[in-house]
Amino acid sequence: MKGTLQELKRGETAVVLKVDESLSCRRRLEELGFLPGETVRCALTSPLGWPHAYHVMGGVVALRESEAEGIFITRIG
Amino acid sequence: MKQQKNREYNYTVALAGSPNVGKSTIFNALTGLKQHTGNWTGKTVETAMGYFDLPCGERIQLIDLPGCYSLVPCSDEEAVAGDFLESGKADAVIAVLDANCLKRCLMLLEGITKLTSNVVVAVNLVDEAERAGIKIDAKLLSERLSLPVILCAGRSGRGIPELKKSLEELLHAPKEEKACDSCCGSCTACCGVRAVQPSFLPDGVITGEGEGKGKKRAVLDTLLTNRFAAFPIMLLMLLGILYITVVGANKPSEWLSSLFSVIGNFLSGALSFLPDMIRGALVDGVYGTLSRVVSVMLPPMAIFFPLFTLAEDFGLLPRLAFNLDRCFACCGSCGKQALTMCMGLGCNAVGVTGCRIIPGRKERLIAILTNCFVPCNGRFPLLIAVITLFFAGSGGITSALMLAASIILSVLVTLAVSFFLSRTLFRSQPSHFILELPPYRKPKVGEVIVRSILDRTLKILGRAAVVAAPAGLIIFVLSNIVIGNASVLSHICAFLDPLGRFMGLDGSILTAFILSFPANELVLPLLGMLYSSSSLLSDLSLPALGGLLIENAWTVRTALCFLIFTLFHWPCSTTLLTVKKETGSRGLTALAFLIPTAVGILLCAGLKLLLP
Repeated sequence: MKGTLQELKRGETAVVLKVDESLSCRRRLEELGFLPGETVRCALTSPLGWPHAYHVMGGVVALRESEAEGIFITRIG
Repeated sequence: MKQQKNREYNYTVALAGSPNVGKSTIFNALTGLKQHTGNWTGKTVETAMGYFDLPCGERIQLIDLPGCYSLVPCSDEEAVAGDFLESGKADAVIAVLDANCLKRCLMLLEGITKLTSNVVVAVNLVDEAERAGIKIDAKLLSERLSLPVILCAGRSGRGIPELKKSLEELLHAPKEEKACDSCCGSCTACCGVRAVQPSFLPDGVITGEGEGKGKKRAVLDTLLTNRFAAFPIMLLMLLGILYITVVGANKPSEWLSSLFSVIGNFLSGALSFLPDMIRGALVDGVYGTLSRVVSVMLPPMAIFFPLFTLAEDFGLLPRLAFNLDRCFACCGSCGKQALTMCMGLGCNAVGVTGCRIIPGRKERLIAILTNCFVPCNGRFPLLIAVITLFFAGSGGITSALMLAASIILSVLVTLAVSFFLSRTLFRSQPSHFILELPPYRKPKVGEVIVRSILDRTLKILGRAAVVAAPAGLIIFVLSNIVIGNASVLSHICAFLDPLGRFMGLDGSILTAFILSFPANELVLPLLGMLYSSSSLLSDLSLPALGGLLIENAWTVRTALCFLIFTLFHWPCSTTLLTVKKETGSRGLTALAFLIPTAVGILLCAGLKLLLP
């Protein structure tokens, strides 16, 4: 089921399809592991709702909603 | 921090790697310097330099570069790392990778190897990785990368001797530099990230998934970011630290002031051969101010700072930024500002420099301009002293609560002013918030305590001597030069009195603050001198100061206004200079001076109107 990272709820896992080219922080996201084919899992949510923290490529990265909306994924679990 | 003198060296080596992989720990292990390695990404914002010797005796100059995820810079400080590596000044590079996320670190390694082939790979944090069930096959990795690979655990020193040996071998037989051969000429623009595919590493290099330790970390993370428990827990932690500080500093402050009183009387007697004015200047002016600063300021700092450093080393700060980011985002700012505010708790100037970790220009400027709303270590004891004298009848808990309330007030005002600034002066697109949450690491308690106390002790004594001595002298002189029917000092205080009264304070308080421009630690000692009419060195203790304040018509309202003004007034001279250096703009520096002052005056005047 395709969608964006923003829709991934806590505990759910997905595979990254790509990062939106128009996102200005695209390179930083890719450097942190959001590459096509990588598994990403939503690990934490902030008490105020956002940002969310994601397990990716061995690290845990926190992103705001606006960034998460720019990462396309396929949900797997 | 020990400074190593500039000495002759044979080679220059750069230490490069992603943020928070333990570069600075390896730097400390190699050079013996004691750089602080706080557990959050982007801690190192300036390059550090140190020296160490190879087994053969040759000397290496080691440069610890700020962490960067790749050599294509996203911020000024990442550009520092990239520029240095490109400049060719380094004879070799030690690339530090994290064993826990090796694949990701390979991207940076790819970028580094396109600039130079003289690289030694240090796979750090293997102790953490092994605890989590991850094993790295160094030999296999080395074959695949065609580079020497050393497994290290910087904290325990494991792998350091092998690292030195490998470096020596490399420097004695350097590889020929060749241009990047897999793409166009301008390497950093297109290489790096895309070049590394997940299948780059053959099987067997990394075994294990690393879920073992993840459980404890997950539990802690869930707790600290839980919808209901997160903020209460963070508040309780803050209260805990403040309570221990207040209670723990009480007795030592008393002892110190008694000790200094005794010494002061002795000095007074020993110098009785000097003329009265000179003796007064030396004993009351210089010594009196100096000793007041130390006895009031030192104990709380010596307790708060180690406690805070322990929390920082453990890894709590990124979680704080994570929890608070939404508040900051609503105010047009960035969650990383929470980190710079925490740095400001130690020293506002350090907090301003630390704003380099904020990538967006607008957010960075807002963070710089609002940093001094957070009380630094020099102002903390002011707050504690006044709270203790006027509010804490029943002991530590009330003090801790009021201190916590002060900090919360600082945070709220910071948010409000950030909101205002982002809507008026700095209107632009919001930038991004991407923060790595590093694993929790057990702080080396003993080392932190000893180092913080020694650092703080030496620093505060040093600054007290440099600033308090001349300031005390000036006060003494001004209070003894008479013009008309009163001393110069009295004239100044009288002149400032109307403004002071308007704010619920008085002229002497304002004078004390103004004269404390070089260092906030001076406020109470100077106030004590301004109020005390006798020129003989009297009791230096807190109760005596309390008596002095009451004698000068202080009420609870005065105390509250004093607390507010302590929190919100112009930054100290060091901080202002740092703002000028970081922003390069006189206009912004002027703003950095005016904004907190205006806020302070408004809030104090407002409070005065509200209370009888």
